[in-house]
Amino acid sequence: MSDSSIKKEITKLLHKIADTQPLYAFVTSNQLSGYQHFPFEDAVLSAKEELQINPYPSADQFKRAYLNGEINADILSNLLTQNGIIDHPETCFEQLAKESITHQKQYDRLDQLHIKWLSSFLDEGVAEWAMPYREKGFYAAWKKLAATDKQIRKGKITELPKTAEENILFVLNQYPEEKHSIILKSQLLALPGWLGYIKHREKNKPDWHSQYPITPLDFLAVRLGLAYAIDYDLRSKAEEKADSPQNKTSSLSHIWLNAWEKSWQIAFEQKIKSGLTQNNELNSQNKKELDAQWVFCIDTRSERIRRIIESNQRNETFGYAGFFGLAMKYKCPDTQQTYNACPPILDPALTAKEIPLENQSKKFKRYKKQKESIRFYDYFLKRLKNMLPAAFGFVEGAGLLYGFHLIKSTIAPAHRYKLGRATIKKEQIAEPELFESKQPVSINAKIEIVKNAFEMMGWKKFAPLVIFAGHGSTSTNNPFASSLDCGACAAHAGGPNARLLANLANSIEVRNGLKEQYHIDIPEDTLFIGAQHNTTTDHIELFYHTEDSKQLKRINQIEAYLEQVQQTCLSERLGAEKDLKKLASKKGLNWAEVRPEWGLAKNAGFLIGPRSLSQQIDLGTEVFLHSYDYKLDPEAKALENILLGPMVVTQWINNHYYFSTVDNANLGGGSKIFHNITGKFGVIEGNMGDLKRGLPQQSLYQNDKNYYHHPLRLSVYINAPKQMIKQILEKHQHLNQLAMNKWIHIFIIDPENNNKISNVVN
Amino acid sequence: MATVEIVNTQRKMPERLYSYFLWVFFFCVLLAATFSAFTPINLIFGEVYHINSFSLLIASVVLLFGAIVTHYATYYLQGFQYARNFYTNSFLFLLSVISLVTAHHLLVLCLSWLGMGIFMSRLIGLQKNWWQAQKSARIALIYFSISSLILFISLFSLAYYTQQYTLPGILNHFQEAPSLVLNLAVIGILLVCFIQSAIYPFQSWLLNAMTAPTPASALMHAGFVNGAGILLALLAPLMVFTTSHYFLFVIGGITAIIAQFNKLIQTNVKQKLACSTIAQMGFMLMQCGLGFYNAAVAHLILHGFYKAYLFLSAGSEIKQLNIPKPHSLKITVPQIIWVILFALAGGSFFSLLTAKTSFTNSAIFLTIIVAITVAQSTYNILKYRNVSWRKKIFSAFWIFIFGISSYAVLYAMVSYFMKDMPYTAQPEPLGFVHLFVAGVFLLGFFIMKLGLYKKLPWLYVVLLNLSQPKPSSSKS
Repeated sequence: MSDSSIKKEITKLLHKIADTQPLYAFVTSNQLSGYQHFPFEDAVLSAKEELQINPYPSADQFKRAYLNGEINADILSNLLTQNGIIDHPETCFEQLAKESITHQKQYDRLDQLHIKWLSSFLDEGVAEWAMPYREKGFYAAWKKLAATDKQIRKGKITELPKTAEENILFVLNQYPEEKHSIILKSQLLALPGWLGYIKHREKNKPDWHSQYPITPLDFLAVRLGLAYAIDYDLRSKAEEKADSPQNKTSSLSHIWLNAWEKSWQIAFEQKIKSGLTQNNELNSQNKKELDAQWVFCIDTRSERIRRIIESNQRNETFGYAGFFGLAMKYKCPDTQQTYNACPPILDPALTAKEIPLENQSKKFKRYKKQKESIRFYDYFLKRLKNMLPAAFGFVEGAGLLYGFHLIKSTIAPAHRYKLGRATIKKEQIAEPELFESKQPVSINAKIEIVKNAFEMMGWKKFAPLVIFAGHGSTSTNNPFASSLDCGACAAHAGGPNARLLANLANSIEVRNGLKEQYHIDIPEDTLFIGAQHNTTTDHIELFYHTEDSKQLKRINQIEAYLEQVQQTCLSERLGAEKDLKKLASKKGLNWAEVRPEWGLAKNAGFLIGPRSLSQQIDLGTEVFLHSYDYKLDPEAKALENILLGPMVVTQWINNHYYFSTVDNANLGGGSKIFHNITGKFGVIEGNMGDLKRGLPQQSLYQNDKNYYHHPLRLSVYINAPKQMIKQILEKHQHLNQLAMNKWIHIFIIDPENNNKISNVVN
Repeated sequence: MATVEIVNTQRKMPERLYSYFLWVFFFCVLLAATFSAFTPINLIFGEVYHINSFSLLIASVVLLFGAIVTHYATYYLQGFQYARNFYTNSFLFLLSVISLVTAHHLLVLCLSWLGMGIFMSRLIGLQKNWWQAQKSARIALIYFSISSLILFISLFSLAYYTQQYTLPGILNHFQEAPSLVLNLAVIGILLVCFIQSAIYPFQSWLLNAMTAPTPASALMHAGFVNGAGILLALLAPLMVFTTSHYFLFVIGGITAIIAQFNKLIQTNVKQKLACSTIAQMGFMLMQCGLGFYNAAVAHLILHGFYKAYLFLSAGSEIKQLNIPKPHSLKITVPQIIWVILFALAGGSFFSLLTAKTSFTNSAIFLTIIVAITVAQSTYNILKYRNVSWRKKIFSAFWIFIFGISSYAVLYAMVSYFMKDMPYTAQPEPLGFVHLFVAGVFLLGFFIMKLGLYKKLPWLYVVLLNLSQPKPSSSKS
């Protein structure tokens, strides 16, 4: 192979590895995104062969779904016959079991050496003494240190060339040319979790990356260098892999998956049928006098609470991506960190910062000081634990205190954070403000932001209270905590975005501007409130600063109502009768709890359309809901944005849940029980191994054997004229490809054709 | 389609009952231990088991850990297919420890030791279908079987020569054995302790053992590794008589320093905790070597609390951090004066409260360590910018008063429970060895404080290799 063709080959292979997300901002994305340009069936078969993964649900779980009716027997036999299989479904299980064997990865000596250096280099603050020479880049730093490494033949390190690229060629040239491509493949795909994290760093360029650069080429060069230094024959593994024959025939698992999805779709369509026959307009509902309008995230968990809030018909709810259209970063006063608070497809230019309210600046200062002391306390403990000989004296002096905390956290976990914590909340004393490179954002820009948000939500009429409810979660001692937060806010709680939008919409200048420029007339006594829905406890906290007595009275009524809503929600969700709040908060605060809540598990559908389609219908928190009224969108602009943004994100979430479930060991996170946090950003299982790149078993499974999440590809239902949807898909081929290649199913509920439901593909 | 979300996340009855049972068991033993403090007891059951205040103390501590870990596991292991094996093996492990501290007959002692090893290795390999767990369990089992075998040979060679087959018997008569046999036996016992506490070069079983479920790891680091301290306290007269104190002191001390450096470079949380455990175990052996077995027992109890807490909360370590800035080493004169003042005050307070007032015996070593700890804690607080001087002095003061008093209380309690055990609080006269190790400690302190180690990349590689899990074979 020539140098340039080697480079090409590497680029091609790198494309197959998806980014691994850091757990402090765990954005769920498709682990097989590199195969997304192929039809699903072909893609997963190639991935199966190349990455040694299992892409379909296991035979046991198909069987379970079949026996309890989730897979409709008629649909299944129909599909089987269509594919020329006339046997009874029950005879399939043996073949299904053969198709879904999960490969358990074993690490050999080369893997172990490689991991040793990868985890040292990529560390983001666990080690007090970080790997030397990191600023030189991975390959260069490794080469300097490896020259003293007794675990390898260190003398051979000096033979290696200076740069990563040269080294790759140098080691490859030790082998006959026809082996190059297979060696590259087997070595580059050997540790996809770690390589994926390198890709993530390269793409997002956090400070850690600009200070300590590492590229996929470094990854490969170090690996090949190590192999060279331990006389490891790269051919042996490569040949082994080449042996497994490629099975391209339509697999039985695929048919069963189709049957499962079809069954789900039919059941879902049955449910919304009543909604379909109603007058397909929001107006019909709006005739009543409204107390409050609520905007929730499209997240599946919003479905239940929206339904319950609407059981009192003086409330109206909307679904909208939980960042409320604010493409922003947020500077958190607690940690002084700035993070992206919008979907990862956007690149935010604005930053929201907490600014103290008038006459609260003293309190705010105290608040920040308190947070800083907590940070100092952490630092202080770390110093004493690390230093010689303080570490020994420290254990003796603080041992009893640890004993006390140990017992308290065990028998009274709910009180864990009550002692010695700040009682003031930042929401009470401060409000977020928008800045663009340190300058406050201009009034016109603010007006524009609010206008866009209202337009997107299709707003016509304002109730006295308009509540934007972002969402977050509570869990303790949970490495995957951020996976339970709002995906639209890049795995953070959505409160700041909600508060900011409410703040903007309450400003008199903005309201005047909206009226003058866009003829949006907001009644004077309408109050916008930012809120946060805690998905673990189903408590909705409202953040407001009004002193108007009329408004306060309304708010008090709503807060009282929310108490009821929480009880109803919890009893439905937890299946218990009493002590519901205690039970839920214990789940959030107990340090031993591995399933604080189920997150987005069971997601299977996405409904884009007016609320009347699904109002008062229990969708079992399986469906993302986006409010949309095609009549307000003659140019199809809003729909285009929904398909480009939320639909793509829900597809990522759905694929992530799917693959984490069907092959939890290789594409998911494995079991929490054995997790070992590495580098402050990820987990491995046991004492060493590949970086885990997906959700843990406990987020997806009831127990070691049975799924809780149903691994089904997303079915998107759009309530809009066929022509409109077709045009958008035509324009954006990558969306069309998703549907054509069956990564998602798109259905049209065509209002111009009696709301007939049809698949967009055929 | 609406399903109740809580599926299988409620604790089931048998597990709950078992966890309650352990709590009750713990309280009973604690009650008995309290009782024994007032009326000394020494019950002997047919030359096989005996119960005294020390055995009750250790049994209650280990049952407390057992109850906590089990309580935790009833939530944590929901849905884990081998949860039942966890409960069985951890219970048998607890029984083994209780059996060890109540053993009267030497055979019981050896079998309890073996039992601890077997059940711990089974906890490491709980996940039956995972190669890494099986490999780690195998390594651990090999280490523990060998250690049990050495213990058996050591004790029974002494028993053979003295014709005494009980623990008190051997402690009273070991001097009758030929000195070669006695010395070999003591070397054997030291080896057993080093293996149990994962002292270098026997660390690899502990560094592989992260395949155990987190609660089992907590039990391992808070209970199992302490076996060495307990065994040494039981056999203290043997150690004193054969002057093996120097070995314990030097090896313990050096291990403590190396492992503490090793901890600095760890990038995953559980491995970091393991290095910290090795260091703390080294320190505990050092305390034995100084003649303070009671201090060693106090240390293993306190370290147990500390490490159990850190393991059980090991899932909280995900956090986005900024790149740390290098520590500034600047210090002002008033700061130096305060630091020295507090160090002296702390040291004096400690030696008064724990009755270690002599300047001429090994107690001074422990006092100095406390003084330096106080100095380091004061230094870090004084350097914090955001608070007034008064507040800083105030908090630095209360921190050391609280730390030392809380330690002194436990130390006094442990000493009281051990007062009938021979030679467990016998300071050594200061010797060259002590000065040597003190010098090494000081060197370590300065290298660490000044960050000199960061200029030694080769040391980084040596330490990195020292803390790797056992290498895999070349073929997968």
